[in-house]
Amino acid sequence: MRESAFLVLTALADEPRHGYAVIQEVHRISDGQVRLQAGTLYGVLERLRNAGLIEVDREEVVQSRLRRYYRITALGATRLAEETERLRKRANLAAARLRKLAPEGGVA
Amino acid sequence: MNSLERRYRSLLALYPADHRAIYQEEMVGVLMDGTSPGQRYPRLGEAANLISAAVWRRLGGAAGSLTDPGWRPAAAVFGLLGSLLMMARETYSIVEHLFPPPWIHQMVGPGEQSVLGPHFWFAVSYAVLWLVPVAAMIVGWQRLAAVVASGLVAWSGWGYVWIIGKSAAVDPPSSLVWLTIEITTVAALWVPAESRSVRRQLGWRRIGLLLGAGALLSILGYVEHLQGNYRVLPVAGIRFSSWSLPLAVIAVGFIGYVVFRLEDRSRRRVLAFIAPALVQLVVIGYDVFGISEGWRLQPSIADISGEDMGVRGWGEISVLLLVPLVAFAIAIVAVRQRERSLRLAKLGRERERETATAQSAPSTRDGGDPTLRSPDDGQAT
Repeated sequence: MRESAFLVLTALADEPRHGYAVIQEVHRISDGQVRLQAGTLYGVLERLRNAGLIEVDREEVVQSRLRRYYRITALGATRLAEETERLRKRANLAAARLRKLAPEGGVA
Repeated sequence: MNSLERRYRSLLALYPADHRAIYQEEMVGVLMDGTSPGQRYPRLGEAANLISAAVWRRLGGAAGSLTDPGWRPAAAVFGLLGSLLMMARETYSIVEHLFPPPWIHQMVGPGEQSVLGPHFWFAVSYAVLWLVPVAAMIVGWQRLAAVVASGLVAWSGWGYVWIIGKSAAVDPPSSLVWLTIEITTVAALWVPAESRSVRRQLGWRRIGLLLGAGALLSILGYVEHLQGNYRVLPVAGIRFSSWSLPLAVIAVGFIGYVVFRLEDRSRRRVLAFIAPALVQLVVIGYDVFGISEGWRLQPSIADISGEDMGVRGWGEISVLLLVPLVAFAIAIVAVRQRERSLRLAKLGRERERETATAQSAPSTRDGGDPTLRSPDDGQAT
């Protein structure tokens, strides 16, 4: 799973969000490192939707503009959990090796 | 609509119509939400991102759709089918050497058919080696199947170039179709599938049908030899005896049954894998471009020596090689378009259901029959 897809799924994991809210949430959870552009975001949303990992929650019209809220599906939550576990294992492995590498009181 | 929104819309116009129909209004909202006060033009990075995403969506969509997981099970099934066809072809060739069909003397002249010559032993070795990918795909050792099949294709590809160069008495047009089957089979075998994907999708009964089809195709040569008479099909110049054609039809029927019993997404993709060889067969058989001039051992490519290939010779081969590539590209786009239409139709039906549910809710509250409500009513968020 690509990082952008992982971040979008994470942004939708706690509550349904519309497109601009997803951009803001991804920016926040990535500590300001990732700011999705609209073209990238809708490429990711389309792929996730086609794969059944997210779905439309509801639509609203705000200031004459369509606002579509997306929510994560059960399959999406499962995939996100699997990916999180995979990343956690890698991070734990890296941390363990860094502990061996570092002198006492050093890294990690 | 202000000038900035108009400019965003002109950038979004680069997307394909189906994407715009679903996402354009939403994307305009997102883009306008992200604007700064007084902004009159899209930001450079934003514009570049929209243009590249739109171009990728248009041009890369077909290639991108190859990476979707739906191709994996289909590739595994086609990997088995292609390997089986290759093994059947080589076995047919062995049988043909041992029991020559009635037309063989007419084609190569009496005494020219060497029964146990190098061609025979090549066929034996190929048949045995193609058995490896067949067995490996059934057992679930896909990597082994891919490696062995790749070696066989590399070897036969080299042999094909050598034959063209030597102007040997073979039938390069039909060999090209087999080369296409070999290449698509190898490509399919390298697509990573889940373990034991073939057995899970087909089950032993349908695997048995495929093996039966392979066996029937393999023994056609013997049936033709036994009958001793033959006719020529008005198309493609295919020769057959009164028993071999029905047997071939039964074998194709078995394969067709197995393919059409696949899950929809897999079936469409298996047909896309079949398309290159099938279209090439039609192009050559019907001599669509006026270059193959018949089916077997006719003038044209087969009779052009390596030195005299010239522009026409290489042009013929280029067209015949390009045909399967174009056919595959069209098949991929067709699969994508079909699934997009189905998805849109499904979305439309869902929307109609939601609208009907919303309209029926007030009447239910007003005393409508509560038993008519769908179980999903009231669960929407």
